[in-house]
Amino acid sequence: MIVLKSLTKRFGEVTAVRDVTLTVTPGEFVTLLGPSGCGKTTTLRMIAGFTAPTGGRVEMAGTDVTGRPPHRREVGLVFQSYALFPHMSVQDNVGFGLKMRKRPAEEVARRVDEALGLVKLADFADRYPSALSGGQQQRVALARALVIRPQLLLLDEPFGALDKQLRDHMQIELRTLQRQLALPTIFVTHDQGEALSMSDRVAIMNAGEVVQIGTPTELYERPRTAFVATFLGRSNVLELDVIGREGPLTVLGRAGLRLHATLPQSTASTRRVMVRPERVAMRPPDAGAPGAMTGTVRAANYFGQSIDYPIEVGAETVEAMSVNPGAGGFLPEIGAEVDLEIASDAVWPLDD
Amino acid sequence: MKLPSLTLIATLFILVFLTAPLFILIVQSFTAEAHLRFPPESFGTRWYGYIFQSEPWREAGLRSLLVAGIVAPGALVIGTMAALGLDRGPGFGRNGLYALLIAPMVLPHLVLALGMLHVALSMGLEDTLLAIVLGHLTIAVPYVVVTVGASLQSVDRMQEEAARSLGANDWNVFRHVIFPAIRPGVLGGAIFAFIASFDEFIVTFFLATFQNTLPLQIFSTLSFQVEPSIAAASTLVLVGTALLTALILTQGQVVASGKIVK
Ligand SMILES: Nc1ncnc2c1ncn2[C@@H]1O[C@H](COP(=O)(O)OP(=O)(O)OP(=O)(O)O)[C@@H](O)[C@H]1O
Ligand SMILES: [Mg+2]
Repeated sequence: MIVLKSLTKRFGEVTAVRDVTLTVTPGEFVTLLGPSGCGKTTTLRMIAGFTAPTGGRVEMAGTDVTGRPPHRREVGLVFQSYALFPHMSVQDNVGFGLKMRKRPAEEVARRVDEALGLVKLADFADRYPSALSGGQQQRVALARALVIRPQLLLLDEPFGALDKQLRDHMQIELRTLQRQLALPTIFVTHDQGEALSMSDRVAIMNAGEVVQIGTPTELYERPRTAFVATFLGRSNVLELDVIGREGPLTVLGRAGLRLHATLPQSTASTRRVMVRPERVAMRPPDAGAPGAMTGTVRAANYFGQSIDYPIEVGAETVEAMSVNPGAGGFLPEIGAEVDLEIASDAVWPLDD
Repeated sequence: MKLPSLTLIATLFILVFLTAPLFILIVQSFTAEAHLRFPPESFGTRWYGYIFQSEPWREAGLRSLLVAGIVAPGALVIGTMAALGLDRGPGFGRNGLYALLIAPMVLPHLVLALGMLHVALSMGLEDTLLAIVLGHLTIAVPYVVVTVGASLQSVDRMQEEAARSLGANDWNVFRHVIFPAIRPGVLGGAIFAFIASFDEFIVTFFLATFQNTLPLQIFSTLSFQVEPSIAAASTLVLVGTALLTALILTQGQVVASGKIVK
């Protein structure tokens, strides 16, 4: 179990990381996700021991390791730049950690073989890093970090330098490997798709703080703030007036826009809510479903698998996304009128 | 490679002017006569034989080798540690310290030598091997600081951190990551230091009375008569220096082309 307690780092006037508290349970894959400069790398460096925290603690397996130097922390580290040793062959790179631990030569050879097998590079043992592709280099870096059987694996945007296809492939390989070894892992990225698809839990960071932490589903379905709602996936964040109540539902609206939502009782006269674009359903205008409202299609952005429609409803613009229905499906023209339907469970209240 | 003709002419001109005296020197060193003359009327290796047999020449040559042989590794260790300290240590006063360390490269050796003589006299070290070695170290260390300092800039910090996370302590990080990366700079620095010491005249002249080195021997021979032994000794020095320089250049190329040196 790895525990970060109120971890804080100030560089002079700048607070790079503020009061970060996080627990990684055995075998868990946790992702730090946030915009550039939000303190992800700094957090990782404090866990690895390269940066001394200004405040707070790092605990591993119940021991406070905050003051321990990096080489005595048993942490595996993988960087975006691979950082392989250019003058060592692949097997010497991978065996480096074991050599530092003064393991006997046969054990080093056996474990290096094992690790290279795990990352499917058994045939590359004698090559030098300069003779490997980016993806292969990153797998060597991974094998080098895994071979020491670390207590914790830290990865800082490891696939940032790879192209999309290789990246997708490496994501799956890493996750499979991590599950197989049940290795607690902290993964840093600013790619939200990567974060959602790989993680057990995601910690969203902004300006040095963890603003929300949860499973990908929790974060996507129930973001606490507008920042989380817009950073993770796409969303309509709407500021609406409380109009009244209909049974258990609260009616919200503004200039032609009418939404029904399940909200806790409150005296507030306006509410900020979030609606995901894929939860905004479009129908031909004469469908006349109850609770429908009419808007005008302003544009159609084609992405192949889906199409985005900004739709003007009164003074507001609502993004609707529809999965490509193929020929014969409903695809409104630009400038056309459409009825919008937003189910009450698609309206999620935000805290701010 | 194509050069505009003007550049080509200028290059040839400079090459001729730089190499012509050397060429004359080398030819003269193979004279079989008793006096320096160009071109010589008969050739032979008589004067090479002479400098290897003559006691003053042999002694001076060996002492120069001994001094440079102590100074080069000494400067290597001191200079590398200084460069590392400047690169990794606290930023405060770094530039001032760097300027101080490399000052002997730009200060007139005459001034340095005068200062050193005062120090050597006050410590009772005048005309000792130790004084000469210390004096030469002052001259040689800056070369190492500069070359190692420059190659430290190219060390990948991420590699250092990767090594550390894999369990390497400071020494192992230096041995397995930093040193392989700065090896050409270290080697270059050591060679420059060796040459600087081997060539050094002014500092040695001030510090030594009976302790003779090759530059001193050439000088004192020169003040008696223009004997071809000077040409032979100079040619040997020239060839040695050229070989060492070639070593620096090839080392640099190996690294620049990304080839692995094993
Ligand atoms: N050594 C340092 N000295 C001063 N400020 C620093 C230092 N390292 C980081 N910072 C600052 O701390 C903040 C967080 O930096 P950090 O590298 O952790 O961001 P990040 O989330 O990893 O960003 P990115 O996604 O761009 O890698 C930034 O504002 C950065 O400028
Ligand atoms: Mg970063």
